[in-house]
Amino acid sequence: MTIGGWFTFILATGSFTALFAWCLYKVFTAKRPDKMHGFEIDTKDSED
Amino acid sequence: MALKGKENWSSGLGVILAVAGSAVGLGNFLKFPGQVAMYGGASFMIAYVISFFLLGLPIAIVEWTIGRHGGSRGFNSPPGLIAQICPWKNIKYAGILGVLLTTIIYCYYIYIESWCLGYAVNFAAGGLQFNSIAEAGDFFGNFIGAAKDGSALGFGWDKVAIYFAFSFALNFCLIYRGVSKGIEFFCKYAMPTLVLIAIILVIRVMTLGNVAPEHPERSINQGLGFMWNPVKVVLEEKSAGDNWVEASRLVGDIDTNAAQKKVEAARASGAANLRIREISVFEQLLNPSIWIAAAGQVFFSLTVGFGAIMTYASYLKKRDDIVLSAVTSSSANEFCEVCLGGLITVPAAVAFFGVSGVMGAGLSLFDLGFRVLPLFFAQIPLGAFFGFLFFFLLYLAAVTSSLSMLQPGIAFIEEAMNVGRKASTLLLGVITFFISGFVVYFSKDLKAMDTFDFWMGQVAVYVFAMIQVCLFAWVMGARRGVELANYASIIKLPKFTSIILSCVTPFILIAVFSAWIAKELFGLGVGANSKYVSDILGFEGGGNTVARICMAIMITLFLFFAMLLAASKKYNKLGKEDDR
Repeated sequence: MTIGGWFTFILATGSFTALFAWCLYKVFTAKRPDKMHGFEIDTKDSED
Repeated sequence: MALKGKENWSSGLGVILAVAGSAVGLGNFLKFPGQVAMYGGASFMIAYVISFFLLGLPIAIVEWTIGRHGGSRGFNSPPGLIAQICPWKNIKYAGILGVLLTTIIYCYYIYIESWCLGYAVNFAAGGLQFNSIAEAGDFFGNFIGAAKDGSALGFGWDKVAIYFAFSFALNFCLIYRGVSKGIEFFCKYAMPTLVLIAIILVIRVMTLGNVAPEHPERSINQGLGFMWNPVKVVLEEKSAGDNWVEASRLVGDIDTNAAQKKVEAARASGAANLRIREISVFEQLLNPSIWIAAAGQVFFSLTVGFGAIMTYASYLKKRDDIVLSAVTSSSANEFCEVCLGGLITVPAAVAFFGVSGVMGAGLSLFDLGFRVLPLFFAQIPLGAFFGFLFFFLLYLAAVTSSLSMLQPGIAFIEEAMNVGRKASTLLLGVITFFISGFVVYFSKDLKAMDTFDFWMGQVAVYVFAMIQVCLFAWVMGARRGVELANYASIIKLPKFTSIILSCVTPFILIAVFSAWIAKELFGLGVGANSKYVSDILGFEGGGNTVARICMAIMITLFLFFAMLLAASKKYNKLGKEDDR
């Protein structure tokens, strides 16, 4: 494999591993926000 | 809308694993590496990453948002979910496509799933000892009954029928147990097991060393170079029409020096009909095929546009996160595809057979998976064990995917007929048993499977994805869609997401579909009518009875689902609700 090949390989696998690891970190550590931002959605079930 | 007794996921991680399981399938381990190798590492990955962020991830977010929104209004199947984002009265009928295509895909995917189980069992029993690709190919042909219709139906360890029966029963047992106790329970164990097995296999492949000392050009390094080298080096030959055509791919000094000698010998004999050419990344990116291939790989690998993700997301609670879940499940799929799948199949195959051997055997999903790799595992030390692990990994990936293909149908029957899970499982079981039995019986040249895959697994998926994206972006409005997605989500989508959703994603999807259909359906650039159209319409005497029966099955099932929808009280109320 050429140096360019190693660069492509490390960049591709490293980027997706980092993205996946960051997502897992957020999933396991994120706390639910106390206040919901945005707006309240008008859904039918809220009447129940 | 009363939500009493509504099913829910038991945890946020459960739904992420289930959606990731739906996405991770055979394509991650068998198709992706072949595509990277065929189109060139850096150029394919540039097109792939752009497609991921502009096509795959936005459509995934669209599906998650439609699902949670419709689920909070009491619907779980694509017709009801689609109707919640669009005020048009009859748009619910477009949602039937999501139920139909997932049901039909299940009917042939279960057949492929049973191949994986069959290979795993036969490897574990030590029954797969091959000495050549031809032997491996013969076993595969006999195993799936490719030579003659009905020949796959015999009972025995080396026949597919017993594995088909087991896989079919396993899927319906899990689906009957429900979203949390069945799908979530299975995916919670299957997905970590799958990743663990893949890591073991990556370590085994990467530590193979030089398996054939008499062929120094065959090595893992060579295999990695074949996949990831950014500049493609090819030996070209001048054809009769005075055009240069690719004769072989050159990877590494040994291949290139041997080719250089050939070129010099040809020149010395006065024939300048060979040359070595380097194709840069930029030049590769000018080829439209690479963009269509990369977009298609991202799209089908993430299983977006099928209606399965929206069905899963409809079982979320109103205040459950969806943005982080969508990004996590998508990145889990990419991790399995690029970081694990990309390091197993092609490097292993090249280390054993060389670049030319692998190119000769074929880089398609079935060639790599069921001809080249079984031979590879049959030849290495402890091959029976590693062969079992590899095909068991594929089996787990296939089961988690096939479960997601059943859930839209189950949810639809429950809603449209107002019945419980027992009745819906039974009805869908009967329907899918007959259709998948048809696929298994008509196994000659895999005609039935191929026809269903083309019309439902490709054409219908593209069409349904376009319906979802266009309704979400242009009818409901991308801005409102992004606000809905951000509601209660742990991470928020940036504001420019609405611009991507309304101005970029739909057009990329339409462009890719148009280019694909021009080639595959109308034969543009190929110079021949599509065999799939000829099979149905009989152009140039090409009519095929099995293909026509397949088309009749698809139309009949669509009409049956439409009839259920038209007669459903729950769906009839939809038209009377004025506010969306």
